[in-house]
Amino acid sequence: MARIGVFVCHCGTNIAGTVDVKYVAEEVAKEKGVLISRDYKYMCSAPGQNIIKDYIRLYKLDRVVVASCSPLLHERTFQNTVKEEGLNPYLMEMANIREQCSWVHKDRVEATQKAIELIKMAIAKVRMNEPLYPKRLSIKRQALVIGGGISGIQAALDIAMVGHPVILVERSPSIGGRMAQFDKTFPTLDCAACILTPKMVDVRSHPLIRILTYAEVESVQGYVGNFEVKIRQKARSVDMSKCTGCGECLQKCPVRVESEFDLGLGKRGAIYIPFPQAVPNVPVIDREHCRYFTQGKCKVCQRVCPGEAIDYEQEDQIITEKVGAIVVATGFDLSEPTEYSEYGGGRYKDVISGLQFERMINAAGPTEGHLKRPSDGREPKTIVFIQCVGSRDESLGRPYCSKMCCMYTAKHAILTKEHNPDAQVYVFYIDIRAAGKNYEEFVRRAIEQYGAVYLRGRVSRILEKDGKLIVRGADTLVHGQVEIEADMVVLATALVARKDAVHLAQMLGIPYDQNHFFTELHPKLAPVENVTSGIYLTGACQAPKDIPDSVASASGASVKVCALFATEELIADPITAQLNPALCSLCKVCQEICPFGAIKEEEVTKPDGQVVKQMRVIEGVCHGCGLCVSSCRPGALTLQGFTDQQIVAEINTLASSF
Amino acid sequence: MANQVIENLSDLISLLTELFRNGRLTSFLGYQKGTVKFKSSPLIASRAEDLAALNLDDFLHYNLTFYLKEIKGKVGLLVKGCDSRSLISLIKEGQVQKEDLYIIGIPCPGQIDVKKIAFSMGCDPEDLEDITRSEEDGVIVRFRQQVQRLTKEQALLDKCLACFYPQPLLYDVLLQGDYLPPVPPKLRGEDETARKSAAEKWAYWSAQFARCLRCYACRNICPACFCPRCVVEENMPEWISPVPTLGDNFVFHLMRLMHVAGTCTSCGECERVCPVEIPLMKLNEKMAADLKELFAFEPGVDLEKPLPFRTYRQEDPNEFIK
Amino acid sequence: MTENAQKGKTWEPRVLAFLCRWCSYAGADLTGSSRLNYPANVRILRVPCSGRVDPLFILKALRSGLDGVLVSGCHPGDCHYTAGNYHARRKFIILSRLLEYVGLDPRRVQFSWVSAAEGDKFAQVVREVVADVKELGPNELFRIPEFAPE
Repeated sequence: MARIGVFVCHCGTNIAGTVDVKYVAEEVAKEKGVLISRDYKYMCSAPGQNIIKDYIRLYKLDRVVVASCSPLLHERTFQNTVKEEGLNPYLMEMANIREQCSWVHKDRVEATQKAIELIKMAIAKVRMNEPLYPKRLSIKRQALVIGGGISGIQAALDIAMVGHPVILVERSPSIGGRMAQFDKTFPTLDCAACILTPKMVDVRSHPLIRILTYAEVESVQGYVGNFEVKIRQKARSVDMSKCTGCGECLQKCPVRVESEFDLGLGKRGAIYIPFPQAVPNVPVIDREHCRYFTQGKCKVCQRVCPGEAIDYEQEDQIITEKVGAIVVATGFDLSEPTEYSEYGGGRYKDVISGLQFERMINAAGPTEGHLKRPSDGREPKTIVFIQCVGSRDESLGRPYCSKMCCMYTAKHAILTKEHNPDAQVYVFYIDIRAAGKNYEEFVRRAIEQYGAVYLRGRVSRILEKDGKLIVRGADTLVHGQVEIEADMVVLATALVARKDAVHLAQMLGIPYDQNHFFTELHPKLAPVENVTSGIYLTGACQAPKDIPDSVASASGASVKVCALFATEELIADPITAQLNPALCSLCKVCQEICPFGAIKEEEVTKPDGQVVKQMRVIEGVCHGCGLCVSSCRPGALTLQGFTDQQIVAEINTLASSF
Repeated sequence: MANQVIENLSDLISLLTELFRNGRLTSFLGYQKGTVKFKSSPLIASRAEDLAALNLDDFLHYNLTFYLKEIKGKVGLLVKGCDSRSLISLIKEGQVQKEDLYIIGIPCPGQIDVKKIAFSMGCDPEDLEDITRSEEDGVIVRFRQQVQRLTKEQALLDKCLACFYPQPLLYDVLLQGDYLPPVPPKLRGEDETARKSAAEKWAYWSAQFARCLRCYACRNICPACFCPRCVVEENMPEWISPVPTLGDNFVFHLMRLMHVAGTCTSCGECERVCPVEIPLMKLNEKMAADLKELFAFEPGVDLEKPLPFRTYRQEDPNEFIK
Repeated sequence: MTENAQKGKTWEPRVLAFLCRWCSYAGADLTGSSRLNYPANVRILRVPCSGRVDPLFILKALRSGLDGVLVSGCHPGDCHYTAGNYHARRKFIILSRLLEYVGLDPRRVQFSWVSAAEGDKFAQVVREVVADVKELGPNELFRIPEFAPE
């Protein structure tokens, strides 16, 4: 028989001004099992809490109801109060008679009556409460960072600096990401490779960081502190322990195919490293284009390799690792320049994307830093840059702003002018978004110091005529049209999520938005965390981001990882589902419906030796939403803290309080 | 699926006998002559010797898949087209593994509805002397020395008039025969009750559910009802009382509908076995129509398509929500 | 009912609202913090997620004599548990249509998506639901008199 104590708070006049709290305390005292029921001015204050503790002790209460403000505000407070007096904190329920009663109703009689009914509901529920004990889980203090771009690199360095081992997985043959493709970075015009490569070297030489390039995460099981990941190390066809990085094979390979790194502006061999400062400096063989793999011929690389490092027999390897936290740093893709057919992207050779321009102007790039028209190799004298090509466009389903393009276009304008002061540079823009530190000043420099002509308006068409590109657009500030004969047009395409972002999100069990960017825990207050504990987001995979923000978010995510690793044990929230196999029909709706994959089928040996299949809830993964419970038809699943019995008790009590 | 076709009943029995002998089967579900006129009984054979009772006639009403809830092991069974949909549902609900089954599809010219015939002739089913199919369409009934010809519409189960799947969708072998619908299938169309006012609908369904005895025959015979303990028997909390009050009867039927939604294939057994003739198929068809309209889902047809409440689409209907 | 009848009061609808802890319950709290007003007819029952709301709860609430039910959760895509409201949405529309088919006015059982920032929307939803249920009158349907306290 429950021994219930009810404590009704005045909250000054916040509640007592509208609700007759003394009368309420008297009325609810009549409920079955209520031993004491009293009111007090401020239940959450120290004296108020002491009253609760005293009464628990005096009356040997085993259930407590606090009728006051919202549990979202003070549930923890009163849970701690009862815990201090030795009562399990989950044997306390609250009735919200302030935010959802006294503050929203004016009529004293109605509000009082409602308060009584709400407390009766809480009493009915608390009678059914069971003590709950948080599970303690161990933590594997090793982190996985998916993605070797600048944010992944920063995260790996930060976590390793605190002393935890990190596995850095990168899908391409080298770490470095997008930044390795850039020439210079805004607003300082630092050489991208010069500031990136030291960090890449730090990663390579750090004893706690294990780099796996040309590798992809294949599966993720488990839960925070206890993930089991399978990583596919693809076959490079080169033995990393023997390769000296001499580069002979790269010189001698007879194959020439388009280089992905140079976005089609340059070529590479079938055996290649993506760029000279690659980390690791070990080539891979592209088996789809290698003459040995496609025709059984050649093998020149093997012949010239002084270290005998070429291994055509090499196979993919699956590496299984246990990690306690995962940092997602998978970056972004860019939209296709072909999306607006009126701009001729893909049709006219001299209409290129922003990143292609970046490769072109990079001294280490396919044109050795010279601006050359892809059509005839001549130097372009007049270049038109168009911003917002693919961003801020509802008709493409892409209403968002890609954040970086205004800045990198200004940078391209400046670099063009530095390269050739006589070049004519035009920039078509809708708005200029230069909100970062020194960003506005940077754009001003492009216009005022370097003479780039900024035209506020959209381009309607680009036509090719006699080897020139005729760009027709609007200049809204003069209410007129412009027509420019350009030698080259650069389109600032949109930053988009990776093509397989959804696949990765589903593998990790994390949410994503309609643009396929991964969703953060809270857009304002938790931008690097995730609904799924143990998984953190950094860089552009979460939303368009430039380098400083990517680095900041990487450090932010790292500290969250380190904070996780700093706790001795994980305390799992005990509001979790429980399954009674005796009532289970193994229909598996729970397994299919759980958003977190917290319910699994397993084989169990019964005392009589029989092996049977049973469903089990993995408490560490269960988030306590109760979706499985409402889907379980025989009622084999319950949600501790929100059981069917508790909820039906509340419904019945309310219904009978006529 | 195999192309094997079994010519006749005795070939079938030989095949099944062999399957029993070589251990491929441990049980077989079929039909045998009933002890009552115009009614076949289910046959549950656990040895080859039991197969001698196998008999196929015009009264193969039972949906044998419902026994799969109890009878495990390697089970052979006969399925009509409609039964095969229940089979697919049960496989999707994880209640039976296809590999454990040996499925024999049987042709079905529509099963004869004795109650319907008797009602239209104004007599009791016991008064009917003979019912046989005629070579031309239809059914010949002998009653008090008279001979009456009835059309298929007048003689067959209502569900057979809406047969869209005369050939089993899942089988290992087929029994020889025409796998065609008995009549061009027509859904019963928009139920006329749906067009009435709320008060009229409530009056109609109150009248129906007032008769409910809560015998649970509908639930017991339903292949989609396989829970080890049914929600009606749960007493912590108690959802409905065992007493057949009108209010609780409503809740029982609505609860059951929500629980079998997506798995119920409108096989009609529930309505057939209801002792007080509640038109349960109206509710089943309403559910099936809604699932089709809202989620493009048809129960018991596609083994791969996820059950409607196990999945969702971002574009699911949302206008009904404020 | 007896008490009210004795006091000569007119009938007031009693509406039970299932609110999800992360969005709608927080939104209802915001309504309070903002000191907005809504009719006192609604009683709130907190659940972790709208996906926790079993259609049986709704049937139970109607059967026990409550006049109306509101279920409110996070907007699609915002569910704290990623997918609870999506699954709930499917069950709710099927239940709603079923209730309508047997003669229950669908205005007795209503659904809403209210975010933690939509304190004013919650108040508006409550006003609308209470007004609808008031117009429909007492729930005599499920609450068959045999067990009603008199």
